[in-house]
Amino acid sequence: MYYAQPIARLIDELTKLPGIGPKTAQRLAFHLLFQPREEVQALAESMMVAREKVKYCSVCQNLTDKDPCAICSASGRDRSLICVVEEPRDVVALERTRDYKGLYHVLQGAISPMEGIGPDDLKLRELLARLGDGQVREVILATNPNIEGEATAMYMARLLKPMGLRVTRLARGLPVGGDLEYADEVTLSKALEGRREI
Amino acid sequence: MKLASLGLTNFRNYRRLEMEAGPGVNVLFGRNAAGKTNVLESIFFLATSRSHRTHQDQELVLWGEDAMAVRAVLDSGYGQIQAEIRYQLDHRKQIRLGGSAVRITDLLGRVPVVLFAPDDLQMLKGSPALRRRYLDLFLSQTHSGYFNALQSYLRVITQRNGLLRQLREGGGSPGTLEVWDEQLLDYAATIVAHRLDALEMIQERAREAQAQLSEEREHLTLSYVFSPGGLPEGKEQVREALAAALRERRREELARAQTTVGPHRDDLAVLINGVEARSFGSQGQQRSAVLALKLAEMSYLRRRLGTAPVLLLDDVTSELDGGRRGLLLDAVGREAQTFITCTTLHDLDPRWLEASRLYQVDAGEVRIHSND
Repeated sequence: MYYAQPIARLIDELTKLPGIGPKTAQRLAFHLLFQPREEVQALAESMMVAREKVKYCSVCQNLTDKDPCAICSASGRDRSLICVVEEPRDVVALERTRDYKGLYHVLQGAISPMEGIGPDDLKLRELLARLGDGQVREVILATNPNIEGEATAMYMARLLKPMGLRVTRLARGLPVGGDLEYADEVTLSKALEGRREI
Repeated sequence: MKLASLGLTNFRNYRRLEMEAGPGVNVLFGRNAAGKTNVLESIFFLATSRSHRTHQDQELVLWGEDAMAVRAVLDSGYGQIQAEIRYQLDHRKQIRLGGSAVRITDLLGRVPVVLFAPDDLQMLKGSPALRRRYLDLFLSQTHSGYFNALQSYLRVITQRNGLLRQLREGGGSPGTLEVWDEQLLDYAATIVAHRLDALEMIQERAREAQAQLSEEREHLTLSYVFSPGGLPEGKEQVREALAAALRERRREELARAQTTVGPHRDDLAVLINGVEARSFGSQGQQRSAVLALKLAEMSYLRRRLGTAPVLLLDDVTSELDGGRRGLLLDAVGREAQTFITCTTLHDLDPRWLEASRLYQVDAGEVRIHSND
């Protein structure tokens, strides 16, 4: 045993965090040991408070500290529009654009048989419940453009279209600020497929 | 495209290797197990990001080490750029071009390679997987879209098989099978279309080579074996035929928890005078056909990429006799950079030795050998 027992325990706990190996854990542990007491207390407390207070919004299934969440209860948002995403961080990405004024729905995953995730493991029933009152007119499918996200979007499209809703999928294509000649073939053919009249 | 130099760190039996490469023929000779093939393997790895000998990248790392790297300075004739692949155990491969991190598709096709290995005859006699690999390898080098479609397709198959397994065991959601099928069909149609285009392009050169080797007695035909049977014209028709086959086999696939049709089960039939070379051809016909396929691959790469591919000839001089050796020598010409391995220089056709650079390989070291 190289470490005093409390240090070893701290290192062990830190190693459990994603992306933290033994070396980083050791560095973080020693850093914390030499911080002012209040700093360390603030960190520990913020972790506990976040863990205690944050839960899923009963409407959109995003992470929130009050229910319904800030977006679901905001007055200025377009309630006829729901954007469906896989993860809470996707909401953050879309909010950063400041262009989207509708509501969200977080599936908390995508269909992936290899990981044992089927449609019943996603927050789909909660989505269907939101569509019942006729207020929503369009659902935007914004799952990731990989095969799992695509499968999830197709599955949802089949489910939602018969309900008489407008169902749309985020466009796939060229990154802004890029050069056409450097775009890969798949992106370019998707962009060609999804071309628009100007 | 030529390699100006090659550098290895902890690759196979090389702790460290820095070698300059000549623009023409480079001969590596030395005892068995000295590490000659490892040099060719490293070039193949740099070109395709895979080894031709193993699927397990960890086997490429020197025993006792946890990371390896292959580097080369590539000379396009207009300028030079350094390419590098680094691999650390349990990590993804890191690829760099000119010092910046890039994706695999940015490297594929930069160093087009054609490999001749002692067990190439298996390409004809062995399983369909080897013939698909032949097509996949040069298509991945010439079309990044093909490589991406193939990767996505294989991932769809894995997910779909996972779902079939769940359904067989009474779990899973039957309604999701269709959404995997939709994607499977899109990628499959793209893959088959690319393969058919390529076959049409290589057909002619392969036929010509076989005719030349047999004094016009052997007529070579390549035909694509579409796993659902038949071969519909056009991408849309291929998609539909495969869709029908999937519907037909639904019950069987559920029982076996396997996707039994699609490009991952297709094959390439090599016919000589109308009969399958793998079952009816003589040893000589088969050797000629393999050479014809390789020569066709070379000219395809040259045509698509506008540059002669690097040729890697692994101990094949004993495999090739008289006419076949002559044809290969003609095809290599003076244009293509070539790396040859052999145990002694006596095995080598004198024509290889003209204007060659010789390297003696011994226990993980490569030394320039004076040419006299």
